[in-house]
Amino acid sequence: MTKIKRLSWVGAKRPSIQGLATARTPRVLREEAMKSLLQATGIPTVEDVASPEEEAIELLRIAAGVEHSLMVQYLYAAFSFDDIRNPLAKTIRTIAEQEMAHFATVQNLLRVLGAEPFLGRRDDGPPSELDPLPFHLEPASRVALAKYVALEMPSLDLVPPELRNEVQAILAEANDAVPGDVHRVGAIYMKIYWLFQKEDGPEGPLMLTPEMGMPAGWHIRALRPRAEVLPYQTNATEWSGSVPHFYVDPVGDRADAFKALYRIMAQGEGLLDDDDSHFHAFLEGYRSVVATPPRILPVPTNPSLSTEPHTDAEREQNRITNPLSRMWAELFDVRYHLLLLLIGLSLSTPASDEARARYVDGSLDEMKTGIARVTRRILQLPRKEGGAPDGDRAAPAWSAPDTLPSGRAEGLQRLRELTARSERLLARLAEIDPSPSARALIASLQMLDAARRENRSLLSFLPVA
Amino acid sequence: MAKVYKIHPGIGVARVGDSSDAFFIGPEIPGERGVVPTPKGERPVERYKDASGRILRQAARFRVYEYERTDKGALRLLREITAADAEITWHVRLANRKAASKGFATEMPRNPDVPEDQLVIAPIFDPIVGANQTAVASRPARFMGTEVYLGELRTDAAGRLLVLGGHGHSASVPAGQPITSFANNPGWHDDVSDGPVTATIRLPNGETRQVDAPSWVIVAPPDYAPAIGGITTLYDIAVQASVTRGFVAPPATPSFKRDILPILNRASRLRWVEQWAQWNSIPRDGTTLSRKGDPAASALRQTAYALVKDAQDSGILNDFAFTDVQLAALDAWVAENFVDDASAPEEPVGITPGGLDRAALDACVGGGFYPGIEAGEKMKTAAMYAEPCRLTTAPFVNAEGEQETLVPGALTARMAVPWQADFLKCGVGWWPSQRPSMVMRRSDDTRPSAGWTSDIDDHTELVEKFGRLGIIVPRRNAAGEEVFVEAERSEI
Repeated sequence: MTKIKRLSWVGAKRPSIQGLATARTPRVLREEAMKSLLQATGIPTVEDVASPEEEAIELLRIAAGVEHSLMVQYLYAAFSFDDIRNPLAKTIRTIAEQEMAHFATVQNLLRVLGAEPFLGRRDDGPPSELDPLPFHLEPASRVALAKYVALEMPSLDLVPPELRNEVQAILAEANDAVPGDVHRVGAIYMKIYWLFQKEDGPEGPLMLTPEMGMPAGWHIRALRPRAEVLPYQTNATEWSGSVPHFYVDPVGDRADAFKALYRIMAQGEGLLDDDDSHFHAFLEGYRSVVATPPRILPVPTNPSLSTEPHTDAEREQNRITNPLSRMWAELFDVRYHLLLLLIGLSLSTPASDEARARYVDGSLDEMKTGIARVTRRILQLPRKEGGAPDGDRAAPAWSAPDTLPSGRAEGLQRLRELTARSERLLARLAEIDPSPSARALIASLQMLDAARRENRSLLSFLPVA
Repeated sequence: MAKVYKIHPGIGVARVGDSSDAFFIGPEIPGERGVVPTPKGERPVERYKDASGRILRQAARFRVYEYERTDKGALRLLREITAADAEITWHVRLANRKAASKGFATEMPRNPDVPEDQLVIAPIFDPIVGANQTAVASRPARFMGTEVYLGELRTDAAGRLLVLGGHGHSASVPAGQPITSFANNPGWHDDVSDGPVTATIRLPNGETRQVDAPSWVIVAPPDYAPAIGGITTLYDIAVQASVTRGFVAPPATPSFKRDILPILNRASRLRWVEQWAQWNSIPRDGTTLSRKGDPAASALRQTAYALVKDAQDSGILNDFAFTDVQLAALDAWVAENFVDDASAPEEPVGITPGGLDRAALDACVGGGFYPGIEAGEKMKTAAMYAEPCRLTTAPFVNAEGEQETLVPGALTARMAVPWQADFLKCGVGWWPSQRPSMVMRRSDDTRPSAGWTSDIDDHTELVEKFGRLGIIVPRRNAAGEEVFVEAERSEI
């Protein structure tokens, strides 16, 4: 797996960012807000890079990892609702899917710099100050929603004045749960935006200047030719089902890059206040949880599939020991790794190659069935051996793969290995899981595996969820 | 005793089609096909495309029924009123206000910078009276200056009303705007619509009456699998609304044949259009599933119950929920509290007012309201109904808590524009009964293996070629079993 270089934050002053909001035009307000945020966080700067291109690639890998981590954490929370039709569960799932769109856009930005897709996650190494939140799989709760609000909020200056007291209280609640800043990733996108500029003068919709601390004269000199990268670029149509505001922007030139980065920042992770933003959605969600706490399944926080007992009592409580649950959770991880692999293969295959559509369809199948429906099966099962069906529940562990293959040949080999592993697990599950629903799911997954072995697309057999 | 005149169906459903003139009349008897007018009468529809391979429009037919109010206030059906009995003058208003409304899943208007009168497509139809008449709009509708055809009115040989919708023409003004969203695309329109249907009756004694219970017509996209129904239909939604409002009571003890078997059959039939493994696993042995006092039958019921409930509980179908009435019936059934009428003789069927109401809505999907196919979440608003399967013309409080009076185009306003955008994107787990995903092309194949939209690459292509997609129809395989295959597919 590609390693990420060390990153530091240059010139952080960490002043109060309150009190900047007065009656200003939106554009001026935005510049002030960006400036104040950059003052607070510093300018993210990758150490030991030889060129702006190299730094941009590193930052994009960091961004991809962050989006991936957020997507997983949001999905875990969304699936923890007792009623899958709960509107807040749906909102959180939609936002997770929108993070996937950001993740895909970041891959397009990597491609225009000549870099391969990056499918890693931010928790695949020791905890880092780059993480917007420490990676934490937890069920939905008031505190979890407070964290999400803090994570996705724009600069406080852009929060409408009538919401500011409320948001500050929520921020305090989030900071009690997670000491330190939870709000840095917007600055990473701003720095990437700066690197994509041709020169120091403002370009595109954001007004970035050296006076904000951006390194003067430090810009990407040339992008890969449009004709070379566009066949690999993905877009919303290729991935989206019915996710509202699912933006995946192909990137063929600098103007495309500005638009793509601006949209990511507007929707979440950033600086701009937007009515359709994740911030607004989570704020509504927080309010709804405070008003009417939803019924949440008794799922673990940071579930563990360790075969050895943990010495820490809390961690041990979160360890899945029920044999049937463990087997489903192992299957889940296989399907998750298949999903990552298929996404990687699709992004590395030009649109003219018919295999690309098969990889995309396969990815969608895994999202909808391998992830969503297997998750629901696991959540019905007890966590502990001998556990009561209505007691503590198991949950998917979302274990990150140790490595992801590089290159198509290696990828296809891994695909075959994972498919074979899935088939073995499914055969075993078919013997020991008596639930009619589970057996129907097993049959669906077996059809999917068989199709993959035969290089057929089976999208339409499988459900969207 | 006072006479009461009602139009049935209370909500009629027409569908667009790209055939220039050929059409069929939508189902009028629950579970049966529609009919095609012929010079000698009518026959069940056998082909859903015309000789040039274009999709037939589905007409919605409306009839007037005469009732008598008894001393106890109940209504007693007397007869259907046709042109032989009275002069019936039909009044219809249709509109498509999609482009003028807020978008789906957002409070943002779809075209905030364009005046509403440029966006609402609302032709004016003069009243139509007599037998075998045709009336196009006396004032055609325009969308941002471009004329849009929303359909025409006809009458049959008995003076009943036929509403025919548009030809499935969707476009943007200016032309060539991209379709970037599954539901909200600025500058785009399509030619679905909805609106009220009413009538004036002049009886032989000279008395002229406005009907007491007018109807509503929805012009929807085509139904590409007309013999396959949604697990929950718009009829189920209307029944739930009626129960919520107290118009009717839910069955105290559900009937296997009437309340359970249709759910099981519809769920099971979905296997012919998507997710074979899932839907094929639902037990189909009606005799056993209805047997009481037998542990094996009870176990099979538990299995069927769990698998059918998965449509909702495991998210097999998106944004899908059974109605409370359906759930109560399923729960009672699995608890063995039901009437085992599986072997009861079939009752003779014919056209009845209630059957017209049911047949029209049973052919529409009652789930996946994101936004849906024929009409969306709005149909769940119990306050919007005046009586079973009939909408109110009075103000009501809508789901947003606002006072609303239904206007033409209100039911379809926030559905996807153009409908083809949602159709292409929502391939699996949404509305397989209307929009198949995986189909069988030969009756002796073992199961579906062909992608229904496999040759359609993008929205623009679907806008142009929606009429070329195949229709899923029942056939017999070599073993004599009923299977459902794709037929009448044109080259794409």
